[in-house]
Amino acid sequence: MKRRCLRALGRWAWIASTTAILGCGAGGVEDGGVPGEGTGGGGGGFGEPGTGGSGGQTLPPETELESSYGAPVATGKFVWVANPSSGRVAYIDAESLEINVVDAGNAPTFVAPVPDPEDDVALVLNVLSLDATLFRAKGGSVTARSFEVPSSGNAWAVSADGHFAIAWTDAKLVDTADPIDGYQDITVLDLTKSEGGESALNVGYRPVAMGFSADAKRAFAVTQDGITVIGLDGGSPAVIKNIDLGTSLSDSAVHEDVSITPDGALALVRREGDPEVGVFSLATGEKTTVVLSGPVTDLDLSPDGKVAVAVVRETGEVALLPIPDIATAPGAFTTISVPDTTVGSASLPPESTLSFLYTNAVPSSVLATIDTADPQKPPSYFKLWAPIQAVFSTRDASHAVVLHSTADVPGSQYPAAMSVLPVTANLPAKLQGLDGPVVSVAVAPLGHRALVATGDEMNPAYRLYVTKMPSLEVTSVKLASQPISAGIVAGADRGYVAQKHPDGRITFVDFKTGEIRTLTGFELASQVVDGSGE
Amino acid sequence: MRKWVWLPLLALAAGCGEREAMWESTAYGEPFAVHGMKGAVAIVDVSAERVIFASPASADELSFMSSPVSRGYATSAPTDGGARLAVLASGDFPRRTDDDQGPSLQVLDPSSEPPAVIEYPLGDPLSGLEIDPESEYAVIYPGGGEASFVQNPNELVLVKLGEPPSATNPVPASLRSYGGRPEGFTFTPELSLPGGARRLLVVRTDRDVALIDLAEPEKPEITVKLTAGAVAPKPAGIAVTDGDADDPDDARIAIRLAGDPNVVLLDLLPTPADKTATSPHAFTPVPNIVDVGGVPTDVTFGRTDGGLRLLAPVPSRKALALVEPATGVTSEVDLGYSFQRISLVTDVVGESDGGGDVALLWSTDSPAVAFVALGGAVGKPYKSVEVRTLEQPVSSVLDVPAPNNHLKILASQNGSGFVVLNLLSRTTTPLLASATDTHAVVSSDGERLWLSSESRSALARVGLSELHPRNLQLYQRVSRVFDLERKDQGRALVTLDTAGSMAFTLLDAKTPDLTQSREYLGILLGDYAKEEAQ
Repeated sequence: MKRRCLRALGRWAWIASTTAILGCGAGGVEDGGVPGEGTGGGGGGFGEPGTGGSGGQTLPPETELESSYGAPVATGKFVWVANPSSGRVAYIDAESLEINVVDAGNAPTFVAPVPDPEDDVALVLNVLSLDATLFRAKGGSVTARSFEVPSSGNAWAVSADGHFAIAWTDAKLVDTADPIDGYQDITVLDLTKSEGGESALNVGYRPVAMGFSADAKRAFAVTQDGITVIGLDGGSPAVIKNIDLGTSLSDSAVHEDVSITPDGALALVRREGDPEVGVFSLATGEKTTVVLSGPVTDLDLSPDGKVAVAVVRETGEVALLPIPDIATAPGAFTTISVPDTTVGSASLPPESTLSFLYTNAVPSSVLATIDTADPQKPPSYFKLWAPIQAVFSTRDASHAVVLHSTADVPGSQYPAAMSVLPVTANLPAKLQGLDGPVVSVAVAPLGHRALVATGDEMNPAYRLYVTKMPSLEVTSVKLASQPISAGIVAGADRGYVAQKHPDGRITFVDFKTGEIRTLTGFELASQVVDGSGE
Repeated sequence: MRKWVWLPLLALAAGCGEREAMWESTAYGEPFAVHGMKGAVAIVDVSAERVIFASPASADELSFMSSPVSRGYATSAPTDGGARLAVLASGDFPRRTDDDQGPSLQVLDPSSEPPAVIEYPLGDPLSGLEIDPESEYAVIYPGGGEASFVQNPNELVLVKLGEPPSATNPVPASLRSYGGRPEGFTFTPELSLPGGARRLLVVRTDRDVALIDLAEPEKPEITVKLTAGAVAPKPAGIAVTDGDADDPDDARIAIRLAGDPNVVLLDLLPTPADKTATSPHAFTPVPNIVDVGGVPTDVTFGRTDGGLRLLAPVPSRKALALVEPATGVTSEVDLGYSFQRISLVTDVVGESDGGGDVALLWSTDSPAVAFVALGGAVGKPYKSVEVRTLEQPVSSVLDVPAPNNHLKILASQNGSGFVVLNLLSRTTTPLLASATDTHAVVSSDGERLWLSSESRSALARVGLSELHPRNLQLYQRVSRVFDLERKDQGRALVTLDTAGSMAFTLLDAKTPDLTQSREYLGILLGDYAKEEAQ
């Protein structure tokens, strides 16, 4: 069965990130979709004892501490990373690699990038002081502003215009969550207000996703009770309704796959094993049911919100549901047959009408593409040389990084593999064996580089694979410790991979020169006193 | 035939190899210090406030000169390769009259008669003196023996030894303090740094490191605070590399920490653009922490065919850790023994096949030395490891000047065993003494090794070309041994007996013959008429 950690809210929500952190849940690989660009960051957090880098021989684990630092996020040219134990946040200029440290609240833990047309802005949740600190880097200095966050939380959702942020709790990230804990408290922050701006609200039981409409007039919480709609265009944020998604009283209350259109008008709901796609009006709660030819195994919205791609693996069909027309004409959709292979998943690049189709439910090394703008065009097929696990495309779909499982490749000694596929050039893919399981993938928004970080506790082959496109050259760099997440700092034309280390560790890759540089000890870097101003 | 010579004036003491620069007391409680100089033995007669230079004029004559020094002797050290002697004195304390002397550093040059003296007046009486190995600078610091009522332990004085005293020489410096005080000084070689080539003085305190720009010592120093929260790592050792001589951005300083598996690497990079207006320095140290897998006992930099590496012996792992500075990736070389110390011997043995350095490691707890050729081999970060077992662990290693610089003298822990290690043939020739207080001195012309025992009045000359010992039994005890260049271009052996009123024995160093020896008695009594007995 295909694993899904979080697929709600389509591609428009701020939860979509630069990086794709793999292996969420109890193992396996998630379809990370198309890695975003420019800003974002990975999940992760506080890990197990790290392990020394591997050289000619494997070093013993770095036994001293757990990592104090979480996964970083990137804004224009900065990478931000919080240190809960010191109460400070390090921000690294990805151009100069200068590290600075600023004070936050008590136990700053979860950082989110905040879109801003001029400045580098990041928001950190201080989980012990129940507040958040908004950092704004401008002209070589950083200002900080605090907000109360009575709900605390472990996740952020930020509107695309940087106006609002919501602190909420993703129960999946809570170890041994008590069933009575509903994690229904959220805090909405109006980041534009100089004072106040905090609104404590309640949503349905156990939210699994949070996001905003493109115009930031509505926020949505996908919960086990349905979709809680929050109005943001009134005097202060308020819960205005809850859309029941039709969960029966006996259901285990798990919404498999919820996508919300960018305009906030519709929610599309898929349930595992169900041939129906539910289309809900978020204005009225009215439901329209679209019946497909078999159980829907994947449902994705195009980035522009004009079409939803529903994959029916059983019949080898892909339904293109026109948005918003499907809400009023549930039978009016186009079906594309994808014969001769098995497809169960779809991956939609942000700036292309192509849709990548594949399956990771069974070993299959065939990747198919369809053009959602031209349903009459027959599917294209790419024969790869190992079973596909996930696909990460460049924004324009000119290239794709395909992750492979090697478990079903007889005789292979590699624990994992990847292919770099020149999609539009229709050239052979380059297959690359990987020395460790994939932890994180990041694709540069320009589509000229992709990063794949590998290695975990069980297989400490800590490496960063840097893929150049269109040359398909892959270089491998040893990492000193276990990677947490990879990302792109678009403004500096660098990539990075954060690693577990008690003092914080991040390795930067200069995409222009190929130079590799690792920074370890973020707090220490801030303790250089050079006599400035003396 | 023995000859006795009663000195006309002087009193003196002794010195032997690494036991130089000590302030000792005679049996009569007279304080003295002895230094082996270039062509002379210098005796600081503290009570008489003078320095006596004893120079072998010929095979059978020592000539003597005396130079007064200031009152309040603190310490002394040779400089300029032994051509001059720096004497630090606190003067009269308290200074009540115009005739009372102030604190000063005097530099005595015995090449002229009487010795030329340059006096650098100091503001405060300080007792610590560190001489730059390149003899450009001396740093004077509170050594703990000051008589002042109140002392700032972070006040230093930098003396430019190549320049006369002036308003800008010496240069006072007060280190900004975070609770520490200077504990060690390292003068770097000239480094290619942003802003131009320059040398640095690295000051270690018990909790941080300060960098003083020796080209512009009046600028504020750069402090790298190592304290992280309640943890205050103590710097225990320093290694420096200039990296690529043509690259001003790749010089590095490694800081070994006491009892800590972490080594702090300071990358000396250009000052970030947003700080150039305020920073007094064109370079800035960017710290990085690398974990070498266990507590290292030494650090140095070496070149492999894969580039520069930090080399750190880790006795607890019986390994040598190799750290790639740019990435922090660590690999290790299994040595099979615990080694504490490391030294590069590439200049003697030549590069390894891959163009890497060759390192010599020795152990203070295992009877072994090892040669590690840093290069590349399949799956290994080194080309070869060659271990030579010994009878005893090594307590110290003496270098041998050219033409026998391919030899190292290894002194064993038991004080009676020595090994002549041939770096080229990798042979280990033992030399066994019958006394456990045996000391070794290598002649400055690299031709001879002298082994002596104070308790046995025994002396042995070992020709380093044939390693044949020739034993001599002197009448006087042998407290110190000096192999000096004579004024007639020959070589003289001067031994000193510090017992009683002290005595010199003079022999020809190349062909020592007791029948031709000459003894100078009553050194400390002074003003004796010269007598000679044959």
